[in-house]
Amino acid sequence: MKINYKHAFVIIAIAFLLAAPAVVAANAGGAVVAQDIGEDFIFDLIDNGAEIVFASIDPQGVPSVIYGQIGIPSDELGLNQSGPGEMYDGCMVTAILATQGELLDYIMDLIGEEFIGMEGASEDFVAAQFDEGEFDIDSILEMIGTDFSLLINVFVDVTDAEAHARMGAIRSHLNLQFGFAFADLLDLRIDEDFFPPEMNVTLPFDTINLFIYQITNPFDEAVESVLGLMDQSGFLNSIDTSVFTDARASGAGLLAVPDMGDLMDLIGGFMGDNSIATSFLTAQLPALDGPLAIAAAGYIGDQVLSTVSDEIKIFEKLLGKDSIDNINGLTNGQSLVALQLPQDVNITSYSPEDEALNRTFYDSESGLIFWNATAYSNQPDYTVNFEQGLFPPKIEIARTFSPATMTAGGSVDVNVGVYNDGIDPIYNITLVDTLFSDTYPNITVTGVQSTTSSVLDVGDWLNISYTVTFVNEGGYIFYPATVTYDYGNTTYSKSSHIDGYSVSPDMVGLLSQMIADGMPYTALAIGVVGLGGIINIGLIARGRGSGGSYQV
Amino acid sequence: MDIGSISLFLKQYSTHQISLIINIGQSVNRLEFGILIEPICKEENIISSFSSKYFGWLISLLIVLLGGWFLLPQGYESAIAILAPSLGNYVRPALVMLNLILVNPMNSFTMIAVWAGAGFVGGMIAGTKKGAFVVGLMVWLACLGVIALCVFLLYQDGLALGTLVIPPGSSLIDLLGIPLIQGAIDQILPLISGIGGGGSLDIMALITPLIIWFLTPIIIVIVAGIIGSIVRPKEDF
Repeated sequence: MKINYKHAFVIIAIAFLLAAPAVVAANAGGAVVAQDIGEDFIFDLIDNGAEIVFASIDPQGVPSVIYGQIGIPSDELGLNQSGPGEMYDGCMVTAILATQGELLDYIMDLIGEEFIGMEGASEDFVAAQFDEGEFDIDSILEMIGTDFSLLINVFVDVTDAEAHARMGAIRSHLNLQFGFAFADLLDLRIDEDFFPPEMNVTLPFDTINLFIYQITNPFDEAVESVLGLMDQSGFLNSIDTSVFTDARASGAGLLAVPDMGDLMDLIGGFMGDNSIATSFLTAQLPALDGPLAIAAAGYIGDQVLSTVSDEIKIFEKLLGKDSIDNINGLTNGQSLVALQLPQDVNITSYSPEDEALNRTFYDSESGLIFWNATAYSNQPDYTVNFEQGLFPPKIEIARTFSPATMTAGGSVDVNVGVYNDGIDPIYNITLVDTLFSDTYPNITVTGVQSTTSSVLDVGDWLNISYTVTFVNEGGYIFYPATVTYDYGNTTYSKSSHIDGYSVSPDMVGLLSQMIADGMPYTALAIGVVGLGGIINIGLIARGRGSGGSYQV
Repeated sequence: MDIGSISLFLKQYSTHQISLIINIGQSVNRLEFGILIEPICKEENIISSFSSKYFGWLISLLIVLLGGWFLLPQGYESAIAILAPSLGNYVRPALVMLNLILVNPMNSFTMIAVWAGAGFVGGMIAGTKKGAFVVGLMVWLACLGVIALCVFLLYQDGLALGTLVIPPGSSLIDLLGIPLIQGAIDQILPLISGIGGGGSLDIMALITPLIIWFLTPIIIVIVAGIIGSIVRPKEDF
C-alpha cells in the first residue's frame, strides 16, 4: 500500500475522531468492538450529547482508560456564536491536545498497525521519501517526540486581519473562561500566491490560516482545563481527574468543529466529489450540520490486576472514585461504560446486569462489556468478576535518580529496582537496563546495568545501580528497563516507563571551559579588554583622564 | 582667648578653581585658611573620551550577553536539550548568540528590547552621538566575535549528529517556539514547494530576510545608543 496525501488526511481525521476508544480496544489484545450501531444511534448521540468511559485491561493487568464526551458543545465554549464578527466565523476546526509520556506511542502503534489494518503488510508500506526501508511509526515518534500541549485553529476564506482578530478573541476566551495560557508557535497563511506560479496550483479554498500555539500551562493544568470544557453533569462528578494527570502516560484533547457542514464541504473540495474517502466520510455524516465537539482524556496506568485479583470496580479502581460516592450519567444525553478484559479471562459475572432489558451487553468472544449507564442512577460502581490466576504476579519495576537534577559535569546515581508485591515468589529473574549506554555510547557509565537472580521472594527487592557522568547539558532519555521472570509455567516480561533526565548548564564552568578551549584567541580578547580596564582604572585612580578628573 | 569673629567666603582664583576662605580673628591678627576646591566639572567632557566608550561598550556588551543568556526563548531551550547531549556544551552559547545576532523584528520583541536597552545604556555612558555609534558598533562586532568563537569551539568539539534523541517532555514542535523558525516558515515553505514543483531555488528570496534579521540588532543598538546619548549627554560647564 502506497500512502499519499489523501490517505494521510483520512487516516489523521479518522484517527483523531476514533483514537480514544480504539486505542483502548487495541491495547487489550487486538479484539474488535463488534457493534452494529445504526446511523440514528450516532445522530442521537450527537444531538443529545454522550459520554463514555472506556477501559481496557491488557494481559499484564495494565489498564488503559479513556473518558470522552461527544456532541453539541457547551455554551461556555462559544461555538454557537455565529455570524459576521463572531470569533468562530470562518473557523473550520479548533483542536486542543495535551499529552505526556508514552501515550502517543500507544496511539501511533495503533494507527500504524492494527487500526489501519497494516499489520503484516509493512513491506508495502514505504515512506515515499525513502528508497528503501520500512515505514516505522515509532521512528517518527522518536524523531518528533511525544509530549505536546497545543492549540490548533484553522480558518478558511477570511482575510488575514479577520483571522488574526478572531484567533485573538478565541485565545482570550479560552484564557478567561478556562484558564489556558498560550505562546506562539506557528502563524501561517496559505493562498495561491503561496506557491510559485510554475507549480500551477489550484486550491479548493481562497485562503487558509493555520495557527498553532503552545499551551504553556503545566500539563496537569492543561488537562484540567480540557476537562473543564466538558459537560460536568455526568461521570465527571464521580471521577478524580488527577488519574489523568498523575499517570506517566496520559493526555487530553478537544476537537471542536464550529460547523460540520462547512468542514465536509472543505473536505469535499480537497478530494473531489468522486473521491472514495470523501464519499465515505460524507456518507457517514450526511445531514450533520452546525457545531460538534469531541473531548477526551485518558491514561495508560500501572498494573492493577494480578494473580489474586478476581474483581474490578471500574470507577473506584480506574477512575479514583471515592467508595462512598454514587455514579450518575449526563443529565441530558447518553452515558456509556465499557470494559474490555483479555479474551482468555473467564468473566463470571458483572454488575449491574440487565441483558434482558437490553441495558447491558457482554460479548464473551471479545471480553467486552457495555453498560447503558443512562438507565442507572446512583450506581455505586460498575463491577466485573472473573476467575483468579490469569494475570501475572504484582511485580513493580521502578527507576530512580539521585540527585533529581544536576548541572553539566556532575554524576547521577541511577537505581533500578524490581519489587515482588505478589503473594508467591518469582523465579529466574533477569533485570536489564542497558539501553542508555546503547543510546549514548560516548557517555561514561559505571556500575551494574544488568543482573540475574534465581528467586525473588514476596516483599523482596532486586536492585541494580549505576552511575552516569554527564559532561554535557541537555535532556537525556532512559529507555525502559526490562525484567523477565518465571511464574508458574509462564515467562513474563515487564518494562519500566521511559524516563527523562535534565542536565542544566553550569554558567561559570562553561565560561572557564570556553576560555580554556578557545586559547589563544580567548586569551587575546581577554587581554585586550583587560588592558582597557587597567588603563581606565589607572585613569580613575590618578584622576587624569583627558578631562583631568573622573565621574560616571 | 577672644578670637573675635569667624567668617567664610568663596574666592575665585581662575575659571576652574574656587577657594573656600576661612577667616578667624580680628582684622589685624587674623588667621586665614584657604581650601582650594577643584571643580568636578569643567568646560570639557568629564569622562575621558576613551573611558566613556570603553565602559559604555563593556556595560552594553554585558547587558546583551546576560539578556541573551537569561531570556532565551523556550524553543531554543528545547533545541539545546536535544542537541547538547550530542554536540556538547557550546550549543547553548552558540544558540544564545544566534538568537542575539539574527533578530526577526516582527516577532522577537524580547531581543529587540535587549538590544535597545543595551544601546540606550551604552549611549548614556558614552554621552555623545559619535560615542554611541562607536559603542553600538563595537558591541555588535564583539557579538560577532563571540559567535565565531562558539562556532569554532563547536567545530573543535566535533559534530556528531548520530545520536540525536528527543528527550521526554519535549517534541520537535517545540522548535517552532524559535522566533527565527517562526519567521522563516513563511519564506521557506513556498521555496520548498517551488523546488518540489520543478521551480528553481530563489537564493535572494532566501537570503533577504536573513540580511534583514542580521542588520536589525546593529540598527537598533545604534539608534537606541544615540537616543541614550541625547537623553544623557556629557555635561558641560
